[in-house]
Parts: sequence; structure tokens; C-alpha cells
Amino acid sequence: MHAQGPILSARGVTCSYDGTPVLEEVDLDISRGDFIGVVGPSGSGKSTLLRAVSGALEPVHGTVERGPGVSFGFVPQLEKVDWDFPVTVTECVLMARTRPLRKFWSTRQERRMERNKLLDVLDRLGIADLADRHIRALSGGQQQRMFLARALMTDADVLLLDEPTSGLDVKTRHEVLHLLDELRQSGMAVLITTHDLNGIAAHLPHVVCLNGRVIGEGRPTEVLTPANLEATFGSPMQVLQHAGMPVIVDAPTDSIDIAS
Amino acid sequence: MIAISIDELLRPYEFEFFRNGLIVATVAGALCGLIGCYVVLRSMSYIGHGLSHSIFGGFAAASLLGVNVFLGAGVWGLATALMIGGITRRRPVGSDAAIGVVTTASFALGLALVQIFGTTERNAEAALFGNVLGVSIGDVWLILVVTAITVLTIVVSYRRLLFVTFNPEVAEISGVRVTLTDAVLMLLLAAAILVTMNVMGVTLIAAALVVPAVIARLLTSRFSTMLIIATVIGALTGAIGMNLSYHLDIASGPTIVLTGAALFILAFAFSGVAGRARLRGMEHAH
Repeated sequence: MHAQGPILSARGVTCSYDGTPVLEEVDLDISRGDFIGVVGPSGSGKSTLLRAVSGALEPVHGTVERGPGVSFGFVPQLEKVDWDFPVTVTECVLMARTRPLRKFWSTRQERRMERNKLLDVLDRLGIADLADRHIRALSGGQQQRMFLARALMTDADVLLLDEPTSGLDVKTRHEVLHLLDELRQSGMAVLITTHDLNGIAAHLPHVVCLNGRVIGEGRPTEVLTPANLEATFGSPMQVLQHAGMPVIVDAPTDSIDIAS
Repeated sequence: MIAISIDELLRPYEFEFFRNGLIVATVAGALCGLIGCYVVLRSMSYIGHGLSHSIFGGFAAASLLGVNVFLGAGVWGLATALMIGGITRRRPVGSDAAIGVVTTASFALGLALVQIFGTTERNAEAALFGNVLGVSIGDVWLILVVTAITVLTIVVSYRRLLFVTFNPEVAEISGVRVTLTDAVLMLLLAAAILVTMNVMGVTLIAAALVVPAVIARLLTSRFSTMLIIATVIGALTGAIGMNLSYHLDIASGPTIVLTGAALFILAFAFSGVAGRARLRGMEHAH
């Protein structure tokens, strides 16, 4: 059901802030139906990678080729959002549907179609009854769904999510992951960053270990190895197997005596 | 209690200068209230304050050179606005210090020029503290045009401006031209300050930008409603303040600001616990 070939192709992408390289020589292909998790410690360039693939940040070296008309929806980290900002759920979901500047007014029919689409999307994500609430009145999972709705309203081809499950409880985390999987099956490409190896990364079909450069890429069982994890996180880790899935645990070389 | 007759209340309306001043104060209040929502929500209050002071430098230089004051202060203001925008973008942390230096120096230059070369004293005072006597029919047209352009820009780019105000990073990734949108907002702000200068005075414009938006935030959590309330409150503040200015014989700037402050106290008292909770949310935005 998915179009063949990548809709986005990054080759040798190097990005830097004030001359300090944050990403080096990163290659990445994204196709419709992909669900890719980028894992790495803080400062490993995960957020920079999202900005680079979307075009918000120009790489200093390398290229990012995007298919014609490929658009991006971005779901920010919930912790980074100003929840006191005066917007309702509907206002938030619609704000990304910006009109081209040359088009002054939308017609009555366009407005009706937009309204129907809004109701459909909110309904699909189970937040239709919250449409007129202030954004702070939502639970963490509902806030996440609201931002997904915003991305769906723009018919984004690639969904980028920055730490989508941080701050969410286990049940909500599972719900969000299932929802993302549904969107992926409907033909979107999903790219998320996470530092949650066991809760998220191990469940995804495709994982990229990133620490400035790509340490490893592929299925979690192939990529989440002690060697790759130590190179990514700078700390030794053990990988156990449980029900055919990797389970990552810390493997400190020295015992830490907290009591002293 | 002092009894004031209706005749007495209507007397200032016989004077053309007052009618012009009233229109400008009302429209200026509405304009500042509208733009002020973006200023407050983007934590740009300090930038608004600095920009208004900076424009005074342009005003003084223009009157010294015999150039049209609006033109001179306008060019100066737009240049400063774009420079401030540039500083904020390049140095998200610590940009307030740089803005402080640039705008205060510009203000000081204006004061120095006025003192050395003695521009028309009344003009300088009007620019500093606001004076309705300085308002001409040309000023009325100017502010109407600027307000029309501002309203049109906000209507056409409503979602774009909201997106960039709420989530600039997300807006950028979603394909909105954030730098351009920021520049447009800074230019609208500079234009609003420029045409409001004569009524409010540069030293008090920040209050006209901030107070109506804060009152509106007390009363609503919906963005579109906030824009409307702030615009109406701004207009009311301007109109009431102008009338008080005449009857109390105090400059228009201070009376308009004090009227705004009084409305804020009323709104604060009547908006209850919910309003205060909404306002607390704004604290970290400054």
C-alpha cells in the first residue's frame, strides 16, 4: 500500500551551532510507513536531526532531499510547551493550517470542509469533547493527542516527535505508541526521538543510535548491542533477552555506595 | 462629591483639538491593545518599552534636521526594531542587555539633542509624556491607516502569527517562515509606537501595550477572545483617559495609563480565582 522508495533522503548531513558540530555525516532514509526511533543521550543531536530533516535547519555539509510536496508535522516535548498560553484545543489544532499569503479569505465551503475535517480528526483521536477546553485542562495523553491532531490537520507526510512519551505514565505511553503505529499504517512516516530504551526503542521496527554521528541503525535486536549502546551513551550496558525482545540494563563497572 | 453637569462633560467636544485627540487616543488604545497581546504573550514587553524609548532618539534627530518627525522617527524606529529582532534571534539568552544598551543610548541621544539644540520644547515634551494639543487631522489619518494595515495583517496572517507566538520552533519545522513573521510583528509594533507617541508619550507607551492584554488574559483563556477584549479595553482606556485628561488638566499619557491601571484593578477584583490563576500563568512569561 505504500509508495516505494524514500520520501526523504539525508546524505552526509553535518550541522553545527556557532561552529561546534552537533551532527556529523549522518545518512538517513525515510519512507512512507516507516516508524523510526532515534535514541541517544542529551546533547547527542536528536533534536537537531529533526530540525535538519524538516528543513528548519540548513546543514553546513551534506544534503537532505525531500520528495516533491513532502510536508512535516512536529509534536514538541510536552515539557517545552507553555501550557498557560491562552489557546483552546480547537485554536491549537487549527493554528498549523496557515493560508498562503496570496489567499485572503477562505470560502464558505472551504470553512465547512475544514470544520468537518477538524471534527473527524478530533473524533479519531478521542478528544472531540475537549474541543473548547483550554489546553491546560487536558491530561498528558490528551495533550499529546492534540498535537497529533494538529499535525493530521495539515496532512503531514512525515510526523516528527521529540521525546513523545517523556512525562507520560506507562498506560498513556502505550496508547500513544499504538496511535503512532496506526498513523504509520495509514501511510505516514513517523520519526521519534527517545531516551527510553526499554519502554520505546525496543518496541519499534527501526532504531537509529545517535551520538553526534550514527553509531548503528536497523532492527532493535540487531542494533541495541552492548558495544553500540556504550558508544552511544558512553556508559557500559548489558543487553538481556526477554520474550524475544532486548532488555537493556545498566552495567556499572564500579559498585556505587549511595549510603556513604 | 463634586457635581459635574452634562454640559460640563460635553464641553471639550466643542474643540476640534479635543475631538482629534479623542479619536487618536481611542484608536491608539485599541491598536496598542491588539498588538500588546502578541507583545505580552511573546514576553516582548521589555522590547516594546525599549523600542518606544529608542524612537525618541529618531524623533529628536528628525526635528533637529528639519525632517518630517514621523518620517525620521519612523525610519529610526524601523531600523531599531529590525536590529532588536536580529539581536533576539542571534542571542536568545542575554539579548535583553544588548537591547537595553541600544535603546537607552538612543533615548539618551534624543534627550541630549533636545537639550543642546533646543528643539521646539512642546514637541519634545509631547513626545515624552503625551500631549493632546499636538494632534492634528494628519495624525488622525495616519493612525487610522496604520490601524487598518495592522488589523488587515493580523486577519490575513492570524494563524501564522498565533503559531509563531505559541510554538516558534514547531512553526519553523512545520514550514512557517518564522524570521519573516517576527520581522512583520516588529514592524507593526514600531509603527504602533510611532503613531501613538504623541498621545501617550514614549515613556508610557509600554503600559498601553501591556495593560489591556493583561486585563484580557484575566478574563479569558481563548486567544481570539483575548485579542478582541484587549482591543476594546485599549479603546475604552484611551477614550476615558482623554476625557479625564481634559477635566483634570493632566497630560493625556498619565491619565490613560492610570485609567488602564484602574480597569486592571476592577478586572482583577471581579475575575475571581479563575482570573488570578490565568494571570499567574503569565508570570513566567516575563
